[in-house]
Amino acid sequence: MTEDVVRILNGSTFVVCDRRGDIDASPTDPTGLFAYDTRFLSRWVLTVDGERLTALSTDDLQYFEARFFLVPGTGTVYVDAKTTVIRQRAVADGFIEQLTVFNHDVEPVELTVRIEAAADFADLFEVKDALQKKGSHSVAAVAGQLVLSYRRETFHRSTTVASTQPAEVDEHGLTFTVHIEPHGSWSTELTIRAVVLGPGERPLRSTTAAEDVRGEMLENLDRWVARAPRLTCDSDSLVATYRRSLIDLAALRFSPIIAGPHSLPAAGLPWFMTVFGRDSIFTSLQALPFAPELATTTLRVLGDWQGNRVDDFRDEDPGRILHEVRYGELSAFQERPHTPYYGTADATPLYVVLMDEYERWTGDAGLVREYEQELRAALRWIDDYADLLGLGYIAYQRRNEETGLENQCWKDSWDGISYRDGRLPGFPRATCELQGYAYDAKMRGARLAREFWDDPAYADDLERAAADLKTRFNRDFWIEDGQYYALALDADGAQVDALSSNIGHLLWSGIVDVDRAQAVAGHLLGPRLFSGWGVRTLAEGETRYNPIGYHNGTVWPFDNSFIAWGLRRYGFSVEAARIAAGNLEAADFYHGRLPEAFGGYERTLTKYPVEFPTACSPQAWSTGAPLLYLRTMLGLEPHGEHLVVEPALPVGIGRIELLDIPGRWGRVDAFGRGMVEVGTGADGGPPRRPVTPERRA
Amino acid sequence: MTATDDFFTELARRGHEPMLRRLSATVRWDILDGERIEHRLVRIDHGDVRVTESDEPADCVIVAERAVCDDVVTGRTSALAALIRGAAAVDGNFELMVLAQRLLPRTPGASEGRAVAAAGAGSS
Repeated sequence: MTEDVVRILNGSTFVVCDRRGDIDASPTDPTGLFAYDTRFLSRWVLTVDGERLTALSTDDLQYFEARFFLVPGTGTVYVDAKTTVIRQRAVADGFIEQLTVFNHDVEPVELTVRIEAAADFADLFEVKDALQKKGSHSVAAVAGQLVLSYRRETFHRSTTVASTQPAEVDEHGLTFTVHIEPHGSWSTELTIRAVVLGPGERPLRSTTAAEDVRGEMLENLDRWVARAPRLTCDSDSLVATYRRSLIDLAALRFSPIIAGPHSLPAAGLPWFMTVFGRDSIFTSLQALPFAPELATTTLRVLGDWQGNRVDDFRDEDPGRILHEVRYGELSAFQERPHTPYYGTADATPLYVVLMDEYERWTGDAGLVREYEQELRAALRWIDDYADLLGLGYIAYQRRNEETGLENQCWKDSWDGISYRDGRLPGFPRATCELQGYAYDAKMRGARLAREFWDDPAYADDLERAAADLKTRFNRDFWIEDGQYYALALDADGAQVDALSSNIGHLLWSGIVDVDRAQAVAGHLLGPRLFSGWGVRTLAEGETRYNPIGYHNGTVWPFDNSFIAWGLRRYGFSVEAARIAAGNLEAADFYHGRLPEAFGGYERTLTKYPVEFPTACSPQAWSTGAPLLYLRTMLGLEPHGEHLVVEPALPVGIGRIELLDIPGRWGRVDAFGRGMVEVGTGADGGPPRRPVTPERRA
Repeated sequence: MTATDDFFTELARRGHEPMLRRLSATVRWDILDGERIEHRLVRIDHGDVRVTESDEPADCVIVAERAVCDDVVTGRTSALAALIRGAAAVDGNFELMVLAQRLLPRTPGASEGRAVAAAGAGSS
């Protein structure tokens, strides 16, 4: 079905339509014009002389515009194509559609061109769940415009449709009576605006002048690509993947209401074009060497929205970083908790991690000082609010039992956390990667306190707490007979003993004792976890293992990119290169766009990575994965005012140059050559090689 | 007296909000009470807070019915929910509206979402 749908967007406004450009949605069908998490058009159907049209071709010109070449009639053979139609559409605060009808005949023609328009104003959540509306709809023709409205108490949304050519407007659409000379054409520009109205009918946000939008967006995309480091490389496929990632990341940028013109990465296209704490932070981390300004906005917006009170409905605590923000009707009436919703256990420590990593790259000490209180509050949250087991670990359990999230770690499906025998633990749950993030946050927080807040005593406290956490963690989570870390502690503080990819994040955070790193790396590249394309979320042999289980056996590029980074941190550069090579080779099968996840089947079995079906593509943290692989393979690491380059690249990549890498050093270049033999397929354990000393753990 | 009055009285007494140390700005609340509009101008100077009944221009102006203000102050609704519901309007800097929520009472139990009545703040 995905191939039959055209999606274009601009920030959180997006259009999903068929290949003709038509929208003909049922209550549960996810097509339409969406903005502010609301469907502002559920019907937008073009007819010529009462007939629907057929697409000859459809071009996605840019992520924000598409062009549809159409002929009247819906037959499979075009017997009479004397009339053709072009719709060119760009998303703005709604969209702008240039509609042109051509007469290819030697005689003049009279045509009736009609656009049917309707809006159900469904909340995105309603589109998923097919809920009934509680407010009332109205339609009016005002000064040649069609105005579609929805009201529920003070909640007011409206869609206006205007045309540059005069139209007969009725409550179901616009009709044009058109006369076209031989070999002539007729054209009109339709402007559709999605408006959120506040008290006194005033728009919540001022709209941009429509005619400027397209030019601005094109210029903006060119600037974005030009500003990023330039990659030249013997591997054409890597160059193509890199370019795809940059453009997709541009599309995923999103300006929340409070950020003005600045943008941060939203989670995924199109249904998750909103602020997600976890996804925005991970993607900003991945993109730091390429587009550090994304991290700036992420840190500002998440910092400003930091939790302030104890609110069970929103799972909010003082110091907690938000999970998700939504602007739809159900959120407005608190039938959903997303204004904002805080139910995530990892975004808060990761916020501190991102700030420190950001400063190490950019040297932006100003932001570290400006957000000192937020960073301190985030660190306090770890100890004061997250220790639900009373064991000194971050654990989660929702307080909003009706509409809150049950699983507040990244593996958030209902069965994503299990014991080896398949049982599911009760709540609270303390998953292992959360403890790694907490350790890293404390260590990095200590550096910030010492270097920027002039508070060495606090820095000492944090380091002591981190050291203590590391000792306890290595005692409580280590499974001696399996030689790996437990996936979680359950409500009784007992080990949830499945072998999972989460242990790779522990390397990234530095919480793994050095003498255990070899065993962890061995598992990650061993036959139970490594498929040949990447590391599975759950190891083969665990009861719930399923190569197409969402969090129980699939391979997630985002997950793998952080695992590879972690392996390098502990000196396993060959192993990191193997994972990078496997994932990047998989990207070739998707034209450079890594999906959210693909099947965990053995590489030698399927020969190609089996895509896991998801609604969102591209997904921000999958888009960011190739960027993080570049960083990891080139061994890019800030040291003081300098960027250290220490390449360990798979042989298939050949010669590589990454030019103009931005940072506190200005712009520098990195060069490398593929020297690491990575092989293919899971051949049972990593190559044996001497372990180089860990860098920062 | 409603929860909103109690809030501003308590805020004036508090005089400082550590979570706003990085901020110097003015936020004005225009509280609609039938035909009347009450103004509360809050000057924030590196976290020091001063409250006056003034309609001077401010960097951010929040306009809402008294009942809506009461709901936000007591935690029955969030400022963002009120805003997208069309029950409140913001003029000027949106970021300040977000940060101004740090002035609200933080006491556990005083803001347990929609289901909990106005505990902590005085009854209306």
